[in-house]
Amino acid sequence: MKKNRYELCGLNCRMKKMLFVMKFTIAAFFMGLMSLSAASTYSQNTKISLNIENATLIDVFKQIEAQSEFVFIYKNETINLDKKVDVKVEGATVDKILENVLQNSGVKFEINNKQIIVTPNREIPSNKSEKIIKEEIQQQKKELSGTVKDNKGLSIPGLSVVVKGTTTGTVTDTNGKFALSVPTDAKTLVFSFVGMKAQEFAIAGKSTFNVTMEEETVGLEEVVAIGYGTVKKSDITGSVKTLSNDQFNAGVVMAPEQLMQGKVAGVNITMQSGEPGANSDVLIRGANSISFSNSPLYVIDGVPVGFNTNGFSNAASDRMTTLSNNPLNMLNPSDIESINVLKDASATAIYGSRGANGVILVTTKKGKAGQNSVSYEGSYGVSSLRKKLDVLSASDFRSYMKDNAVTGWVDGGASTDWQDQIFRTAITQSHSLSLNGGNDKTNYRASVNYTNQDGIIIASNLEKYTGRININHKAMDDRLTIGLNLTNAFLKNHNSANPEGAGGGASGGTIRDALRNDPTYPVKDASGAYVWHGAFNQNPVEETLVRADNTETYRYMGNGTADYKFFDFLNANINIGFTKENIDRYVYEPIAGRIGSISHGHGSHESRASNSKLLETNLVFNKTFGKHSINALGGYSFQEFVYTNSFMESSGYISDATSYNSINSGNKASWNLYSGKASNKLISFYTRATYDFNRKYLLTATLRRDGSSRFGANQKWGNFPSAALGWRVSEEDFLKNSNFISNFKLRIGYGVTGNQEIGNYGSLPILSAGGQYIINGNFVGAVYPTQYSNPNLKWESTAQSNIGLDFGIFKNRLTGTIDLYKKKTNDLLLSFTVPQPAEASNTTLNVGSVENKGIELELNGVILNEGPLAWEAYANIAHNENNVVSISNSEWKQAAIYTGWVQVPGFTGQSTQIIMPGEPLGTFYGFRFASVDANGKQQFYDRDNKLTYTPNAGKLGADDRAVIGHNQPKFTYGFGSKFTLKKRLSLDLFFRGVQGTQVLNSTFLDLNDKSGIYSAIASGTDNARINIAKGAVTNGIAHTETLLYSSKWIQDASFLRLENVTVNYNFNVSSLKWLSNFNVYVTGQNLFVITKYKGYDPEVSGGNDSYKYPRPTTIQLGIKANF
Amino acid sequence: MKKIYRSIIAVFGLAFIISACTKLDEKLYDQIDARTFYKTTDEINAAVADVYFRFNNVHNWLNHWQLQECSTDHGMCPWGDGGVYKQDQMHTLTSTHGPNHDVYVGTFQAIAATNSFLENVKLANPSNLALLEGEVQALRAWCYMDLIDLYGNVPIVTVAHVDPANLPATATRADVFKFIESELKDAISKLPSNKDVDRQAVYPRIITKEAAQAFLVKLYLNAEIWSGTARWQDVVATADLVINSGAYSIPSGYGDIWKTFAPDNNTPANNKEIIFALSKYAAPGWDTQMGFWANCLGLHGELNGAVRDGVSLGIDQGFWGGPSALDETYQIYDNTDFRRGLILKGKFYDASGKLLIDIKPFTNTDIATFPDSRAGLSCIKYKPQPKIPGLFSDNDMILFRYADVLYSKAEALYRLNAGNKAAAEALITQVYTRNFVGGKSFTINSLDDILKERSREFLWETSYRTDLVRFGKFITMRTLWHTTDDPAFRNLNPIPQSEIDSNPNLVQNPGYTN
Repeated sequence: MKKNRYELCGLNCRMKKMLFVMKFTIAAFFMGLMSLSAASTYSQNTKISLNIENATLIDVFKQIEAQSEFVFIYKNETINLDKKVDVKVEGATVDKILENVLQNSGVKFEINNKQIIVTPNREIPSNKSEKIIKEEIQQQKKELSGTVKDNKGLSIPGLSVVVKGTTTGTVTDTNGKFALSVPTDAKTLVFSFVGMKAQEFAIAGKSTFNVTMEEETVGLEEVVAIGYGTVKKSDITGSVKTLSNDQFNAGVVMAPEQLMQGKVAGVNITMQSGEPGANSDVLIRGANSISFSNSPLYVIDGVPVGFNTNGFSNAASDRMTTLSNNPLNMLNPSDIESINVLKDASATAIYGSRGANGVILVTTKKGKAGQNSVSYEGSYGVSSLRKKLDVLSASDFRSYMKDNAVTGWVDGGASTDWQDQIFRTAITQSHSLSLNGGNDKTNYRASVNYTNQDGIIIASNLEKYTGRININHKAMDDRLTIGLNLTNAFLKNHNSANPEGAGGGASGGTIRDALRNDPTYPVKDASGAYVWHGAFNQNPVEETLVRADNTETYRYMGNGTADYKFFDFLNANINIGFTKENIDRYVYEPIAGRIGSISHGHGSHESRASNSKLLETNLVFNKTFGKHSINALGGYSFQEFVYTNSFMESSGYISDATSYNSINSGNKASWNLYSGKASNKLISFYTRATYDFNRKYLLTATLRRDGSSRFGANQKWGNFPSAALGWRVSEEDFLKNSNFISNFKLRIGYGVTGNQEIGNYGSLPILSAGGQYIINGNFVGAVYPTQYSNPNLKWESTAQSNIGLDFGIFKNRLTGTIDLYKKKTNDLLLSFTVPQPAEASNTTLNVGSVENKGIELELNGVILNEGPLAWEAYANIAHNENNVVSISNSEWKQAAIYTGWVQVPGFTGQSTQIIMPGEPLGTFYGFRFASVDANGKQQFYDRDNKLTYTPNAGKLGADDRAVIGHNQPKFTYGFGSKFTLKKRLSLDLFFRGVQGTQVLNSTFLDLNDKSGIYSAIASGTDNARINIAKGAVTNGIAHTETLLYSSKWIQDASFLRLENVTVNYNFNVSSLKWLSNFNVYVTGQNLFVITKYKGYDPEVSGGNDSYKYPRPTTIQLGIKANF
Repeated sequence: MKKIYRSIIAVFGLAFIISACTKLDEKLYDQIDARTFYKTTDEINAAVADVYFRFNNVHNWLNHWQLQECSTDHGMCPWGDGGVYKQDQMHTLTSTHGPNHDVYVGTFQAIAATNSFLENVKLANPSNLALLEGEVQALRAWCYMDLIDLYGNVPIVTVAHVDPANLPATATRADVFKFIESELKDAISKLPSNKDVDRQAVYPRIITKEAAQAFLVKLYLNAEIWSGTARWQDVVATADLVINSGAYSIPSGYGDIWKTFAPDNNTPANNKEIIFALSKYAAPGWDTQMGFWANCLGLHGELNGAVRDGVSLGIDQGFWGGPSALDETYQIYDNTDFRRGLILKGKFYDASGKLLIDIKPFTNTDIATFPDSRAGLSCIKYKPQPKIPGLFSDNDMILFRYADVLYSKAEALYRLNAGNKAAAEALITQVYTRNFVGGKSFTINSLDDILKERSREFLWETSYRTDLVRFGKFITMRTLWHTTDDPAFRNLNPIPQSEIDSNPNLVQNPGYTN
């Protein structure tokens, strides 16, 4: 029997097809055509050219097969194929060619899709009917087909279906369908897909296969990114948490970190603001650094990023928010495949001098083998203020004035709820479209997203455009793998006029002005002009609406990777990356507005830009010798960051016409400008070896050697070692067959990591220009030292040990992780006053030490997984204890560092927190409030615990201050459940909370000051008064009292929040050819908070709540469709 | 396709080769690396400018002036400022006294500037290295003279950056004296003589050989107090070097003292007497304006257009009063002395005869309750500059002048031997005579006469406290407010507490407990 051939389309053909599909789909986008059904007219569209002489029919068939996807099927004893023919055709269809060639040959043909069946002609005598012969031929090739789905009922595209032991096979299409011709003697069909259990089926007697694939043992064999590589979850020896996209928090996201907020034990995420695009504080296992960043290192698809995060406070206009910029906003959350959090030093040591604060690895979605698919995700969200603060209403205000016989106040005649005036129901809409496809050689994923998110304060808004392409390609017999990731993002913020406390200066911001505004006055007077009062300088509605304050951010990130397999055990790879960002903030206070009228228009334009270049080269060795398995990595990395900034401002405009677009239109004498540039370099060598004996004993050792341009000449290079051991006890004989324990692994690790976010040029002797003198009759600018060289300047160093236990019981239906850690950070950089003689007055030195220790527990349980209702539950809880060990050394001594200012006017320079040995960071330090006496005077305890009054100057002094609270949670926790009914309807509930932390409620302090109700707010000409909190009426403190920062304003900020509720319905679309998956969901976020805290929200960045932009409650409706 | 893969492999190889890069040089973009600066004349001038800028910071405003003059019968600031002037006047300074701190730190910052300049300029090695070194060493010596005078025992530091592991320790006053002496001698050996430079072209920045010698005169004059050993002979010898050089002269016409203090006192015609001054221009820029004029010699706005004996006083910019002279100050002058006229007391009229103001001396003994910055007498020693932009003027601020060299030599001669009386009188008369119509000789009846004449001649020139201490009269002087004697430790000011806090090697001057 002649060997029949069927093989998968080769590379060239696939590439052509892919390009075609891409072009086609792009065209389809723009034309709005979402249907991709291209009817097969293959035989008519395929043109073949032949030029052969004196060839047999077999030669002709071979040529045609070589040029096309046609396969000839025939039984050679029934026909004579040795006939010699001459063929010369140019671009003819196959039927035309065959008609010519087979003329008078005694055979005829029939084209059946891509099969060409050749049978004897009728003229040839035969005892079999044509039908029988045809059947006989057909039986040699068996046609198989079917559909493959996962256990959720979703079709799986790109899954490979192969006849066992052969190369005969295919992959499933977008709808999970496949069709395959197999030889009649084929026995077994194998279905396999990454991350799924391979399945085998006997072919005998079956032609249709409807297969449901099962995921590989959940969790255990999951592959986890660990930096410069991946490892099977079962082989991990460090403390690493993986969060895949189906575990992310759903809903409207202020910041991408919110996706994992509360989901990872020991990772405490506090949003800095409820404003769209806000940044958040991410603390992994407590704060290490006193003077510098405690943020983890972010690595996006292998590229460590160092984008600007600081707010632009330099454009010094009244009421400008200083909200910092969130670099992760460049990612569309639906492009993220998973987030890995490396928590302990044995895991982060591979990032050396950047590993001390933990590392967050973000992996984006890659294309999957299979045919192209298109997905659309769309959502529409409604956000609103969760709770209003209780200030006096207009009628309360009138009663108060009457009851207390306040003189000089004139009723404004209106009833205004100022909170209603500045807060609104905000709409968010988001649309994402992604293309996904590929084959076993090449795959791609491309996506675009548009999000328009309104903030709940009027006029605040974020518009976001992101685009992303990931392409991977294999070549040279799969030895070479190349990859390309590109991301572009453009974000446009319209900023609120709420400076988040610190920037408020003597005035305030939208929220402060609204809460304190006289509720009996209208927003606008009869003439339509905004009503404002001296105390506020501006009307809270006006200040937000009138000013133009836009931040435009452009971010680009791209990296290319190549991996070459020299031997089965040795790979080399490179990663070349580039990032770029431009941020521009444009602000204009128009002449027509109240504030702008004072300076006759004030415009500013501030720019920040940065770029970074990355080059990494690695060698990876991976081999198993019997029971020994070794995986070793050695690499080199170079990364350089460059930052530039510029600023210009002016005032005194002739007209508002040019706004901030022409700063030089302002009065020349008011021009103010500056610019700057800085850079830093990081060069590293790193190596990691993991050794596994008999799948039982695991050893990981890491060493990174980092050199940073930031370090002083004597400390240019630092070594960051770590080692960890793992023991998979459950693989031991005595547990191997246990029905109870299915997984039990002990981990122990130790490592040293660093924090090199210590600013640039800290070690160099630097001169700056400033001042001038007359030299030889000319003005000469003076240049003087602003910083002395510190050749010993180095990173802050953290040593951490970790003991962990991973377990799974009842066939891994209950899994969990417990980690105990202790870390000590030394060489903290602190600022000291330089003794005279010195021109630079301060110096920064590696001096202090801070300790963190804690315990983390995570549990996951599959409570029900059989029957129509499935129920999974999960919970995590973490406790961290922070302690400042030292802030001095033998040469440089200090008793305490005072920090954290009361961020409301009237408290200039008053510190609220103390940093001192024996207390944690975030310790509130101030007077101890006792009570209010009958005359409304505040009483405090003095240093001897005796009652004393405020006005007794000299009696209550700096020495009477004491520790009055801590902004350090005792526990942070999260728990949730997912219920799924008949694999279609699901309900997710997620709660999270913080226990045992305190916050300084500066807002509350400010709103309890009654003095503004009694005195005119602008020297005699303004009859309005300042509003107060309802509680202030009965707080007993006389209006003549000056309020002091004290324990009275420190509040319990423990809370339990219903973070997320999602109801999802997955429609059955198996009857629709063009649609493979369709989900509709509703998500509610931040629906309730149980707390004693009296402010808008107990979660306050930095522990000082001063009119922070509150986080809204959000309801989102969305769809996800896969075509 | 094959080609593409080959190039990828090539990139691979290249990347591995580039991997060898381990250079970690740090590139500064918007700041200057001190290690590569000080190369061109402009760069060196910018560093010199900083030395003067720092020095100017201490002297341009009230701080040093108030310690030297407000602690005597020369002046007062009739406004509160938290009681600092009261402490000055009543000799009750504590170690937290703000201006005392500012002078100490400011002077040391100027020293730091000289130290870093000297260290860096040596590396740059310009052709005029010796001259630059001499100038800056002399300036540093002057700074140390201010410190030895006010604080006595201070650390001697000559390196740019203080080693935190080895913080400077207090040196004895005598050691500081020795250091200043040797530094000035070294400077003298490096500096060119007035004869050899076009002083007019570079005036007043360049400190010449004679200027440094004059500094040495000041040092020797106070040697008994500062080092414990009198050096009167050295005063005479060194003063003779200055006098014999002919570098300076005294404008000797009637009222010519006003030329030395005139707005155009930087011109060749008017700077003959000036040895060391701070350059001032009324152009914009706080650093280079005559801040002293605005702050210390702020005049009553009511004096605008005032005329005396038919001649305009040139005041058209008066405003808030400023520091004031005491009635005691007024009384040190004869009514025929031109210099008395520089203190404004009594009724002033405009050209039309309209009364502008009646300036009255302080009578309020409750020093804490000065209500009005306009209280007390005005002083126009620095001749007012009409029609200046803003409130700043061009008058260069004088720190040392030739008259002082003559007076110092006279004092030394007299102290060495009262028999030198005539020679001493002749020296002082060279200056004294210009203050009287038709001239007048100075007569010495006792050493005190020299102190009194110094008080008159160098009024408000920041040397009077030093003079009083040298004559042993600082703790016993009397004013409206200083009515009892002080303990002797008050001859020195306290070391600021914040400095002792940051440098435990410092020792507080004896007697100061707070």
